[in-house]
Amino acid sequence: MRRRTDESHLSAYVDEMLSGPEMRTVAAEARLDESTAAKLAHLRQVVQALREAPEPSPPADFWPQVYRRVRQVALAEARRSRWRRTLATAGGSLLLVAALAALAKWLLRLG
Amino acid sequence: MAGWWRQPQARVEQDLAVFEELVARYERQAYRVAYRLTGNHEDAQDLLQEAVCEAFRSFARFERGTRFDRWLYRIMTNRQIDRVRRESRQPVLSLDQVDAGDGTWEVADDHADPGDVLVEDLLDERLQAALNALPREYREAVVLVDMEDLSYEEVARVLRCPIGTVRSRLHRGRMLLREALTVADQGPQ
Repeated sequence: MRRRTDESHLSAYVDEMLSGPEMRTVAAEARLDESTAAKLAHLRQVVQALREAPEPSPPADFWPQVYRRVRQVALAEARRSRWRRTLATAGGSLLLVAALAALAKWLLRLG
Repeated sequence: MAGWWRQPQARVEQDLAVFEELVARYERQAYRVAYRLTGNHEDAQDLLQEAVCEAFRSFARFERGTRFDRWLYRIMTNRQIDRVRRESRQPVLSLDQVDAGDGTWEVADDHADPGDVLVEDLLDERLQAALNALPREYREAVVLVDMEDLSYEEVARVLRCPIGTVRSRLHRGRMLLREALTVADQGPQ
């Protein structure tokens, strides 16, 4: 009994994404089986229709609007980053003071 | 002190310049993908604006030297998944149905000979309506492979799924599209 090709192989065949032996298997299947040949033809038509679909275009003010929005995001990021740095520096300073105080206390106890 | 305060601003400005240059390079492709994924200009613009802003916020994680458009597509498809889940306004469609554009739904005739119908000269509206009727996963694979010319490997990376999954989604998507376009071509009986 002849083994039928996995259906998804047909799309991969149209895209030439199969290995050499797989390509030959599908080609042989298409020669022997009319329905496989018809499916391949239909797949090619669909692919062609998709490739030839017209290019959709946004209104002229779309991209300037997007870049303005991105700039707003960038400014907010910069502000956040600044406050993160400030808080981190303040936190670090507090830790340093606490460590120095502990050291001073220990030294006084030794003395 | 003022320099220390301005440092984050300067870094963000630098990132912004690089980022804007990259986006500008892929404006057309990005808009095309957004439009084909959402099916209309309004949603495409919302999706793309959200995705571009998110891309900028995550720009530090973008691997320099890799394809920026592929990275942006990944953000767009993730965003689109979120939008569809959030809005839940897309009707649940049978795979055998396609919107005929007049508010009615036509059911594919399994007995019709599909070979008689050519789809080469289809109007874009019909094509987009058929794309809209596809399950989201199939639509993503079809748009990225057939309209954006990504390889299966690239689509697998964008959609974060195995190549075999890409292949089967693409094939099912194409077969459903053909069926939908055939029905649209035959018109109401």
